[in-house]
Amino acid sequence: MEFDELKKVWDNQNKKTMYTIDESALHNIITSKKKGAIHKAKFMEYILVGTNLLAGSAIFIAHFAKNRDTILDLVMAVFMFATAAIILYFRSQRLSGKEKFDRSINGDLEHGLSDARYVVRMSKTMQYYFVAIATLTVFTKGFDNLTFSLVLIGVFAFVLYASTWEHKWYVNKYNELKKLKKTLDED
Amino acid sequence: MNQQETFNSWIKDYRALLFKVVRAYTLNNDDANDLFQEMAIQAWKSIPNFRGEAAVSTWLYRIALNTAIRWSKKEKKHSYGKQDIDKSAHLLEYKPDHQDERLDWLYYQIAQMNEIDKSLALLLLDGYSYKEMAEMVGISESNVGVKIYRIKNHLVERSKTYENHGV
Repeated sequence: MEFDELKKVWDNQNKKTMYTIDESALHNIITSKKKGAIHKAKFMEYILVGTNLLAGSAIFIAHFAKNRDTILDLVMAVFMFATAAIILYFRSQRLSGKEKFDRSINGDLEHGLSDARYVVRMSKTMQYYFVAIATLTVFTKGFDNLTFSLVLIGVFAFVLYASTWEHKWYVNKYNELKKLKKTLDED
Repeated sequence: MNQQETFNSWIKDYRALLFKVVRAYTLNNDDANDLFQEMAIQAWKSIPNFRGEAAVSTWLYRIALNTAIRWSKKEKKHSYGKQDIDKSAHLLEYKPDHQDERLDWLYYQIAQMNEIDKSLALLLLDGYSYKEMAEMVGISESNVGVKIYRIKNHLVERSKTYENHGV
């Protein structure tokens, strides 16, 4: 068959209905979506900003309420406030970058890649952040009770290990998009 | 028209367009349901951004193809493991028709292509110009030309085998 003939075969299908739609099921899905889906990046940002502000404030207040001598907990509180501020800055950068992508498939892929890259960087940064917070926590608590300190270190190590898997998952998503983009760019 | 009314009219007037993309990117009814649901959600979400600069058909084609490309990547990953149960809402009913066998063959051939070529093949068969395809896909017109040349040749070559052997 020549291409024109294939085109005629293709055009003939327009006269027929391939599927029927269950309109009420579709309506239900759209209605449930209206109630709002929280995106991954947005959700991550809210959680991180919220927990950092809360935990930082709690440590800050506890320091003065209990008249502690050590400044390690104050350092930790300041570190948490700074982290919340940095995440808010990252968020504003992410949102302001939204408009630069066009509405083509390529633009959509670029946008997806940009968001995926952002999530990858964020999860990596959060791993470093976690190591810093865990170290400060262990040193703030001291080593008077060695068993407690070892359990604490064990818990932190486990969380860090789990976060590595999470990070790998984001990296895989990012790589998939990169592969797709490569397919698009190939001649 | 509010968002819901616009959505209803889009689905009513352009369902055939969405069905073509669904059929080209899926191999069974469950997948078709899943992909159609995803497309409908994306179309609904896109309504506030639609400013009428492009034709509704062009706008919806772009959304349908973007969704299908992303969906098929995700689906390939899931196909080795468990399916997403929540997404199995039954939206579409396939209506088998005594249609031209050559159309089944054509869809099968498109389904074998990579995600991007599938999109271009659909746009080509639906009569979009290179310029429109380039804008929709986001690559240069010359790049579209190269890809379309290959797609046309591939389809014509495969059709010779089909005519000779009926496969």
